[in-house]
Amino acid sequence: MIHRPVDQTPADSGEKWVLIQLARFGDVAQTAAVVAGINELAPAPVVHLVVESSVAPLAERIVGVDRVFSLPRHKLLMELDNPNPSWIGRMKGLDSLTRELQSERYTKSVNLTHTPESAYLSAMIGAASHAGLRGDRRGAVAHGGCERYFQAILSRRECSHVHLNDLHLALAGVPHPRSAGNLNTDGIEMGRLSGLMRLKATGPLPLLAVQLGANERLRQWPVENFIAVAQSLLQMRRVMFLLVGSKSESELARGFSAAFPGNCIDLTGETNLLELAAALSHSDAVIGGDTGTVHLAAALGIPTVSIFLGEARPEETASYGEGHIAFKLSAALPSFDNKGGRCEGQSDLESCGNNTRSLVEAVALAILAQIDGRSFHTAPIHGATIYTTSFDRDGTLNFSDITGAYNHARRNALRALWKDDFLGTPADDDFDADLSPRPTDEADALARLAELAHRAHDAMIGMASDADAPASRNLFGSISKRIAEFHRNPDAAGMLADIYLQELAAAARKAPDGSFSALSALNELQRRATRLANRMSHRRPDALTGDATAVPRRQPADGNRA
Amino acid sequence: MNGIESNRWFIQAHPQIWKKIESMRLPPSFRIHLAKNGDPALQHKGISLHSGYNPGAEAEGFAGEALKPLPAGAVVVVLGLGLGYHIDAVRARFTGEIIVVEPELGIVKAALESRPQSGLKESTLLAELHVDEAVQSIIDASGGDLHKVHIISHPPSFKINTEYFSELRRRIRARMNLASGRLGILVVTPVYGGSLPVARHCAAAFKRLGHRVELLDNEIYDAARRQIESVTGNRAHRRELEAMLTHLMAETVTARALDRAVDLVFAVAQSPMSAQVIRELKLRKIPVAFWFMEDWRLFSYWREWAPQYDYFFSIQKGEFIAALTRIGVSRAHCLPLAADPLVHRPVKLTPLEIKEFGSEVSHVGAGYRNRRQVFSGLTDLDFKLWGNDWERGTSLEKILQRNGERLSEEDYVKVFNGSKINLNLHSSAFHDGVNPEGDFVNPRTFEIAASGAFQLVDRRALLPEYFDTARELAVFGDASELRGLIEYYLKNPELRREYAKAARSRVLADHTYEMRMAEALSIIYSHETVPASRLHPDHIDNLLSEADGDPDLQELLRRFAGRGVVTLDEIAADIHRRDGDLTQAEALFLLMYEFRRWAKEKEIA
Repeated sequence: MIHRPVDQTPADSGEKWVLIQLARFGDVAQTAAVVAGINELAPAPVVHLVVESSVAPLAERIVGVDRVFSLPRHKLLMELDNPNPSWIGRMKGLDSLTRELQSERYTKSVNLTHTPESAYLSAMIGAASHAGLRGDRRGAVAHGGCERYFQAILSRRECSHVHLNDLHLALAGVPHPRSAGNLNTDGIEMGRLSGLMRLKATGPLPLLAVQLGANERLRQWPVENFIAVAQSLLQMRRVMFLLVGSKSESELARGFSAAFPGNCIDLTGETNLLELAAALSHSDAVIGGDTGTVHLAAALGIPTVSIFLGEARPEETASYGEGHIAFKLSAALPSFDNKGGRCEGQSDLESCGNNTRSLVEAVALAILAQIDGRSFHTAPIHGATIYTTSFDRDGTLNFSDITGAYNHARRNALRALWKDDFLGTPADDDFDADLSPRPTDEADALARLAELAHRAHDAMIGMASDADAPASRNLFGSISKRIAEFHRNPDAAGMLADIYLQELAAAARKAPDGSFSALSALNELQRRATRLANRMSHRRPDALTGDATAVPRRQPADGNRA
Repeated sequence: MNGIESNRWFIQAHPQIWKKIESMRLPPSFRIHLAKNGDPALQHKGISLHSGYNPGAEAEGFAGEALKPLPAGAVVVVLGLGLGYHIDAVRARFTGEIIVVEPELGIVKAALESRPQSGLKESTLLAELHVDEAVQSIIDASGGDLHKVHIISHPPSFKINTEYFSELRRRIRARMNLASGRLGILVVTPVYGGSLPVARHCAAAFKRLGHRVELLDNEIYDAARRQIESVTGNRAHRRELEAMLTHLMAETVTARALDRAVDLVFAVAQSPMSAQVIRELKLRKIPVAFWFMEDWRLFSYWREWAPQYDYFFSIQKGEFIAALTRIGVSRAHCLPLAADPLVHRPVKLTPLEIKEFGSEVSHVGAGYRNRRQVFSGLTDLDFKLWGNDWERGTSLEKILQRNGERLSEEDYVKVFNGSKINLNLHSSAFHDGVNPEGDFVNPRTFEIAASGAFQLVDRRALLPEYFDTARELAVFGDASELRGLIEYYLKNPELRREYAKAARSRVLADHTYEMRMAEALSIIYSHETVPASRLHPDHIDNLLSEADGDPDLQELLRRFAGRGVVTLDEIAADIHRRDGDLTQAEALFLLMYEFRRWAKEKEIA
């Protein structure tokens, strides 16, 4: 149950942190960035990581992790479902794991998994301080604005303009790292992959890793589209395709391989996670959906091209690193198989429309740019937003829409607000004064909210401790109503207002007489609403639009790439 | 012979009993004589209660044998007083509490007059009490812990009052077995029909008795049943399809019983059960009880099914119980129908409801032959007929309400309350008028009474056992006298009110489903020594034993003492309800709970 990497020497800061990451392997791969952030603290704490046992071998490869605890979820579930022993007998496995974690006496726990089960695990670990969801009698409770923000965006994903890793770094309260984190692939037993190694060593062709499948069918780009992209790519450059994925993706791989005999190495169903990491580390680029494989590749420093479908949003879960390319496709965009037939030939391609052909060509060009390390340009494609990633000066990941279709001004305003609230970054570092003021309805609404808060604040001062007086209640009622209006409004402003309301409620709970704490909260509400209103009412030309690849790509610290 | 002088303490200690026996003359069945050693001895109903040679020595031997070493705080219950020799002997050996149970006051008088009762003086006497009262007194004396009770039967006394003492023992044993906590009871309803609401009332009653109830409500299959009826005209095919549906429903009984770790499966007439399911449940040590609420003379399926069930309850007795015994059903008991006072109750109708449900005379029920025949002569009255299966095109059609649809319970309670006279004619498909052989009492009798409404009910053989037919229910013996009685009672509203009030009081006192279900459990658990779930690993007693040495966990689990099998959901809900910081054990349970929930959401488990 306990895994100990042998090559790590715990730092001597006296600080001992544990990260809880019970999500899938893509999330575990991305955790490398948070670990890197923690490791840049001076002195660096000892870092332990709790993961599901199936991904433990991968977690052990994260540079900077001193110890990995694995949670054998499936085994524990089988134990829990076994009717023979009692509940006490059935929970022995969990009990033993949590006791071992308790015995570590952590100074801080950071829960990077936003689920109730992880919240109770966090509660049981009993670290001196904690970040992220934590369980108590009420259930999984979001402690602190950062986690509340996270919980708020879960129901309004479209409001979030901050990458998951940046949210996690803010949650952990650590600075953004100089490196994007790293996975160490040294010494992985290659076994069946040795043939691939030989091929790579002797072959002149670039290696493109292709992940054809996805966890959810809605997020899976049809294999015919991948084939069309590959055909387009081969017209420009000879490449070798390395097909990766699980056994369930073998059928997709066979379909792809059949189109390119002699140009494919099919590893689907042949690799464990470490072997997959090793294989990816020998690739020149990776293409796939919003999948663990693509995140793993990014954590290894391999340039990626990802196709985002359904609800997946590059703003939140694009490959974390400099210069990755993501295509966000709207549901309306035709694909090669949604016409009721397979599009294998040129005529079929024609029937799918010029728009789709443009998309296929753009994806092929993006891959080529990633293989060659060149910048990527394309004309706008209807139904597709195309991003490249780059880091802001403060180390947070940003996105540039290379076709210019995206509303950067609004996005940047909201990012700046988030940074102001959760990173403590002075907003003007990233957001310059407005050049062309243009009030919006939302800004007006926020201004009214600020005014209400201001009046409530004054009224409460006037009423001293008599916070239950009808006038005060009315004002609180108006504020709540206003915030409720925001709540219905699927926008970041509504989300932030929601968070402020929670803070206000928490403050009021702390001071039953409604005196000082509620006053402070109102004051704060007014301040933030005013600033939010000011920001929302201004737009400026987007300084960040442009060729993101012009910014030097930030590489993993240990530079795994061949 | 006149020992009363040496027993004057009794007059102060038991003035009520003394009042009854002071002037009592012992009947000839009592014969007090002297044993060979000169001590008095008693013969009653031809049985000698003591040795004819030396009653004292015999009593010493009896006490020595009956009294094993007992733990501190034990309560000894002696069944039978006799002349008290054995009470003295027990008293000499045991210093704790002794309770003497004697149902016959004559024996008490004989004992007091024959010899000094020093042992009885230092004991508690329960004389001439109803069995229930005696059991309750014993429970009270044991402080509610019947495991402290040690019962000694005085064999000749037991022989004289076998029925009384057997019942007392049975009830104490049942209470002892039930004392280990609430039971998990799976109630299986039929798909449709009159026994469907009864099954639901049973479930509600079990719940109100404090048990964990799982209701397998099969009404959801009614649409499927009707679909089968319409899917084919081929009777053989239909039967096959129906059998498949019954098989499916029966299998859900096993699945649910095992999943919810129940102690008992309770089915009623028409509940979908199968021989295989009953066998499976028996193998799992889960007893299956069946309440047959049909006329055994009309529905003969009991012959096939009764022997398969562990407990068979009927609404008839006498001849039927004998017939059951003949085919090897030993655990057959009469359990009359009842009412649920939370459903069947007086309700005040709105003016609109009075208009719809109110009438001088009404009847709620299906259109059986005898009802059609009797009611067709009453259509000139302000008479509303409610219920299904009434023939159309007859004189009754004009008084039939809601086009003959089946009424909800809520609505028929309104009919009861809105009618001056509720006609309750027990159904018969073979007789005109009143069935002269009718014995059992239908649920309507109890329900109308519980609703505080007046009814005119036909004579039934078992009716006097449940109601005072002179004071609580107005009864008619023949259809010919019905019209006259209707006119009489319509003219006497005060009399109707008195009947209705008395009948309702009687139902509340003696005829609720809670009482019936308590009685059924009492019968079942005088045989079943350990509830099936007591063996379940998650039974709270087992959990508490397993948690021995972990005070934190024990403290958490003690909150569930007496709750039988405890589910993770219940533990989690309890933890969520409380205040303060989580303990280690609580956090671990919540972690496990969320872990399971996560798996269910992801459909992993």
